[in-house]
Amino acid sequence: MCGNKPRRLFSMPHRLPVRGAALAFLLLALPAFAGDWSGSLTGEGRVFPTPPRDGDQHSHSLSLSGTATWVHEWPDSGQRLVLTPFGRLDQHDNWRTHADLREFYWQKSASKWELTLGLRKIHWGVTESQNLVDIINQRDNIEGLGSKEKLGQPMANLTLINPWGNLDFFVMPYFREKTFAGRHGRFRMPVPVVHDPVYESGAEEWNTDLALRYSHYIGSWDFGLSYFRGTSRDPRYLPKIGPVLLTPDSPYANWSGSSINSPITRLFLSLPFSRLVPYYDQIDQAGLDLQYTGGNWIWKLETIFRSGMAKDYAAATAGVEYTFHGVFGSDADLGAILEYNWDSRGMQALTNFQNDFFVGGRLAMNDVNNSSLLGGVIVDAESGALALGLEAERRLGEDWKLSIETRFFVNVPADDLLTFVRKDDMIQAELTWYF
Amino acid sequence: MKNKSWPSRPTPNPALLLLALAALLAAPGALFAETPEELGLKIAQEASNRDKGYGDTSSELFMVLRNRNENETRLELRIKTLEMPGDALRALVVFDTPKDVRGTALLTYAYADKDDEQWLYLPSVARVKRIAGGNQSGPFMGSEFAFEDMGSQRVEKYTYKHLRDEALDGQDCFVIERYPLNTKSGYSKQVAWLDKEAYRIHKVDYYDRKDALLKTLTLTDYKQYLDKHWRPGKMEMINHQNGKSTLLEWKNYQFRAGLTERDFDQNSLKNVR
Repeated sequence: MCGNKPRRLFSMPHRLPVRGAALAFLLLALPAFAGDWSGSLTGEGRVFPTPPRDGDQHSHSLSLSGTATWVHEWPDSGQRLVLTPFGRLDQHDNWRTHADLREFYWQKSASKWELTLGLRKIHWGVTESQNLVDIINQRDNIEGLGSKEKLGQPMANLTLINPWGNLDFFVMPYFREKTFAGRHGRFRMPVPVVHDPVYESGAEEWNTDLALRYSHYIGSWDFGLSYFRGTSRDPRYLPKIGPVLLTPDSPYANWSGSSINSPITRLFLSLPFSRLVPYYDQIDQAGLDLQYTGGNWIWKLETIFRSGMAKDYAAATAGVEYTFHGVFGSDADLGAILEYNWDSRGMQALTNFQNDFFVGGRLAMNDVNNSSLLGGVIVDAESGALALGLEAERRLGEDWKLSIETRFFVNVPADDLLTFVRKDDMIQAELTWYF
Repeated sequence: MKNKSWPSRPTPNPALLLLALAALLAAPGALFAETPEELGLKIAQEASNRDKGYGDTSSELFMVLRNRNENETRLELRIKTLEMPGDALRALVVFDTPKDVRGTALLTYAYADKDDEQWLYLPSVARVKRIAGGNQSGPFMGSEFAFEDMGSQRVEKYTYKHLRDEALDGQDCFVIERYPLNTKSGYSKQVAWLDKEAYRIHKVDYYDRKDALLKTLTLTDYKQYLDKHWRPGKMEMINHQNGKSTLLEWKNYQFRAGLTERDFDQNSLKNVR
């Protein structure tokens, strides 16, 4: 499953000449520069109580990750340099063992504009179950299921600051492919994903992507209008059987719910040399995000229209958040969220959010240790499939934090995209040391 | 569902604390009020007027949280404020410790005549989010200071009553009561001691909704800036009902450092570090 393309800005770990040892050194060396650095080291243990779908997968795993930030500001010049490396070592999954520069940029701020050059993370959007409009960065997909961690995106970003709102221009010269769990990892497709994608653009990963965003707030309303033209961050998947590669126009190219259960798909999955090849289309996407904040209520909407992935489509997430203060006669706050996710492609959608509700709650104890409990469930309105998540965290002393996270999949039918991970119920504990 | 950014962190607002307290620093001169209520209001108004014209400030705040067993937790914040026309105020608060929330920043636009607007920046996900300011009586970062103690406490947000004049630690003081107009306040009333010389607050007793004494705030180590503006160096809040206390220490106060609105917009919120 290893490609042989020589030119790559951001090599995946197994392409690096030195791997684990160098990464371990990087992780352990970071605290030695404390003073200039701030960051954290996290030890993670995972237990998967259900026997795996595939014999190559393990029932438990250990992992060590670290991140740090170094900031240099030139006094009175409005200039700064920011560096944020990240690395992870995983016991079993050599694709989850990876390093990345989350941020490495130079920025100049002036009274009416800001210019940023380098690798950066940008967040757009207001909803919680997913952020449809958020398209600048590729997700670091192997950090966790539904991870919102991002890979640093190379860019030039000019922000114009006006009384009538901000205008952001992005030029992105390089594309970063999605990360996938390896053969020994969990949360993966039933057959390996080839880490050598196919691009619609002749320039492949060097296609120049462009984006524009206008954002502003008026009273209780915050809103953003965005436009993106370039390489889709979400691939389609082309089945590859031996030397045969289906084209993007094939009805089986879209690895979607309606095709999972077809006889051809089942035949494909049973063949020993089956592979999935990510295919990255050129797309145009217009997006709107909107939030109304009033009292204990927050109303949210994100919607996109996208063309270029075989078929034009629209998608939306809308929801409401309400916070109860001082619940149970204590200092605790209880936040409740209800969101609905819709995608016009229906079961053809390459997402678990085509007709799904998200119901969530967060209990913040407001204590010295910042203890909190976060629970959520995604309910598929058609199949009734449930994905449950529960997270609890608490600071220990001043420099440590303990967090427990669980993930369970219930009632998943064979034609739901979640079927790939239905045996990946997980209990995870993380202990983080901050420096 | 793995979304560390949801929902909001607590909505801290400590930058406004001093201004709030300043609003209670009252006026000298002859006060010929007919009723205790009018006199109380005049004292509060004069205190507020005396502090106007500070322009902008920046400072560092150290918080020490102590529980019954004398276990301590330390928090460090950086705070900038900007005085705006129409009795409005902008404040930027950045957390340096606890280290797990380092770089988290809160931007507040406070107004005299409408609800505050607040945005929170979460550095781990590079997300700026507008947050609801509905929380009044909850604790700020687990301390004995409630959000409403840390927030904007403008004259208009209370009604007042002058109780008596009394010496406190050898200083002649006005003793006034104030009653929150916000129904979400955790207090039925607060009793404040202000010295007649400069209208600095030296002590505040907080009474809970059942009218029982809940907390006492003591303000000490006052210093004057720009020959006009008084700020306490230390503030200690003792909770009588749970035995916990919180000490605030203010350091490196700077007035009129030349901050502008640009230092208080959403772009600056992302760049504070």
